[in-house]
Amino acid sequence: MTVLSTNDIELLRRFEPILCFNQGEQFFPMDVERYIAEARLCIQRPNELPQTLVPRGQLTVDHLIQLHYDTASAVYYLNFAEPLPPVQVREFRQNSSLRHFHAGQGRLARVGLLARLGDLLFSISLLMRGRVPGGLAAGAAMCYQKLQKQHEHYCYYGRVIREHGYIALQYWFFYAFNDWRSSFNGVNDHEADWEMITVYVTEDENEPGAVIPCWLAYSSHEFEGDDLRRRWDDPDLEREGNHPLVYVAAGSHANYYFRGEYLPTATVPYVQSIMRAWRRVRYFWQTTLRQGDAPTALPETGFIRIPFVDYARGDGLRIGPNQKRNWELRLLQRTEDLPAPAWVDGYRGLWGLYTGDLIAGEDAPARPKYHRDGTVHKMWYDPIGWSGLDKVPPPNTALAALERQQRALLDKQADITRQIEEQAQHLTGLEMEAQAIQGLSYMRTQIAEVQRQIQTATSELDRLKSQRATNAEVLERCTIYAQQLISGQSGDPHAHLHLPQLPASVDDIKLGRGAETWSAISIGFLLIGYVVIAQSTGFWGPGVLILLGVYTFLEALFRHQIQNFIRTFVVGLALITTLVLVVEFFPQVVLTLVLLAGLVIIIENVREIRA
Amino acid sequence: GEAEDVQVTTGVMLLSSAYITLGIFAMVSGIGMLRMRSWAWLMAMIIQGIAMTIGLFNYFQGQPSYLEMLFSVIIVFYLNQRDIQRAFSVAQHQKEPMSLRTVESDRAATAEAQATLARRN
Repeated sequence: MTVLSTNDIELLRRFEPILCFNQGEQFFPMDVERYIAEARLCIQRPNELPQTLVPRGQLTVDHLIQLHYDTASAVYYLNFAEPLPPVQVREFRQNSSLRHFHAGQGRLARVGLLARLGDLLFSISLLMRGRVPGGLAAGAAMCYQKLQKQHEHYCYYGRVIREHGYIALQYWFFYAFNDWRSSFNGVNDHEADWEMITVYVTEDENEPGAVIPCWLAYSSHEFEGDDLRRRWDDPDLEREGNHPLVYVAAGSHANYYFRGEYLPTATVPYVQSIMRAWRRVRYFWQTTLRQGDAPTALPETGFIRIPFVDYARGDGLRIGPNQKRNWELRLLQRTEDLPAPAWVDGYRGLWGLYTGDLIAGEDAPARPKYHRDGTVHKMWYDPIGWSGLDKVPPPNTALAALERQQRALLDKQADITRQIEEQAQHLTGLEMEAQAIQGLSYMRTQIAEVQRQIQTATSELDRLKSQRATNAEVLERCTIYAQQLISGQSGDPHAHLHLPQLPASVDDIKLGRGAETWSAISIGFLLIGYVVIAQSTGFWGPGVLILLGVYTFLEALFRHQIQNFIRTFVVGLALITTLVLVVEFFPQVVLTLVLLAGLVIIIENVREIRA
Repeated sequence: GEAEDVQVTTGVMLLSSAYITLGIFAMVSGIGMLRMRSWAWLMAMIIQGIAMTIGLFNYFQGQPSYLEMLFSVIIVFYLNQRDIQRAFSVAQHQKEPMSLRTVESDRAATAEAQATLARRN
């Protein structure tokens, strides 16, 4: 394990983030040691009831690092608090800062029918899979507040990794509880929560010992890849000097670059081909036929919006440099004077309650180092690749990387040129052979074979020349790009983003109470309507259509989209009518099209002659 | 017998009234379109929507009126053209894809919306 130097610690301090929490947030970053002191250690073996191995108040780090993980499917976990009874939960919520939190427009009002159906299925699934008991969030909050009353402090765990020319400064935050579901109508609750911010810096070649900040990456749920990171010089980012602002979502503690309310998205797999086809249809409709709205860009991949809101308004407590509350620095690695905390490597269990949830949404995490199954997490073993940065050279080595690639391309170009010469010689040889045996009836087979070889060789030669031409273009662009790098131009800071998380639009937030009420009852309305129709035999098909029509109309009405609804409905009718007419008059339609094509060709050719 | 006759007469009267009403709306819409009013555009679309619904209903009942259906289709596709909508100043509400919105404008607008919400609460 790397030994942290004083310089590394100073780097961590220099780029400490400022965390901006939401009003109503109950849990803030704390130290693991206090959590362990309050918790009990349990084990859940398959087909057995959970057992307490070490009761509350007696647990130490030594207990955690001495566990044996050889029992198949047994799960070790900590349990921080006990659930409160409903009366105490109500009392707690009335007196806590949660009473200052207002959700604003309903989450279901912000999404469409599919997402609301998904919400219904999700709610049903919660009844069937393991979940955190009601009252546990309030119990954990009371426990945490008791600890803070004894000694209020906030800490993060720092880690410094050097790889691929970057210095990754990781800031790990440990929360006692994730109460997104019970306090903020989110997806899940779970005891214990680990989140992380990374600041990527590189060493300044011109000034020994100095560093240049390049990138930021914020953890958000289980996402990874390019969309997590932002360039340090991105004009949209908020910073106070070297301290980036982080907007922490209420309950889930997901980290965002901008304040606002977020509807997380989920990419729908296997729809790229459908999206491509849809893009072509839209292009034909909007651009060729000039119908409807002006063309807009479509995302590359299909996604659905999950109907749960991450509230990252930043209107609550702020922790960090020059704020009312500041950080205590703890470390996840050893220094020259101190060892690394033993639990980092030694404990592979869960940091909170194990519920047996089939999709693990309500189970505690095992981070910072491990997955729940005990394997090492990518955020730990590959902090550079986790945010997609492994393919991006640091600024001070970008030119060298480009020149390296240019040399490789030049070598490849030389090789292609050599292959072209050889292939050209081979082709001319074949052509000479073909001409020598041309017309000889007893050489028919050989003539056919030589012709086939000529065709193959011609195709191959064409491919090589095309490749050479493309490489020449690439080399020219590389030269231009090298000039840009030398002159200090760094290009569009958003170029790497595909589907970044951005706050919900104002349109989503400004919906009226009618829209909110409607969205809350709409799925129930659909289900009841379906039951009524299903009881009326013989009317099922048209009945469902009318039901969906009424649903869509009401949806448009409450969203002030009546005009768009009418337009879409009427155009839809026109398309159906067109289809009916084409089917009825197919031969006449074909003849008319052929006639029109003939007329157009005549006109164009006559125009050409006259010109 | 007589009851059936009364029913048929009532039905014919209702249908005639509906067509007359539609005709009046169409005239009003026509006048509005001459004056390039956006409500006239919307009214014309609604009228064509009703006409196509009747046309499709008649078609599936075995009494198609193809010419009327064709005219309705042509009118709708013509009115739906972007340039025609612009000419009638038809507001086009269009949500930008999330990835292309300006963060700054959103920030300002979100703050304003939340202030309104806070005042209401």
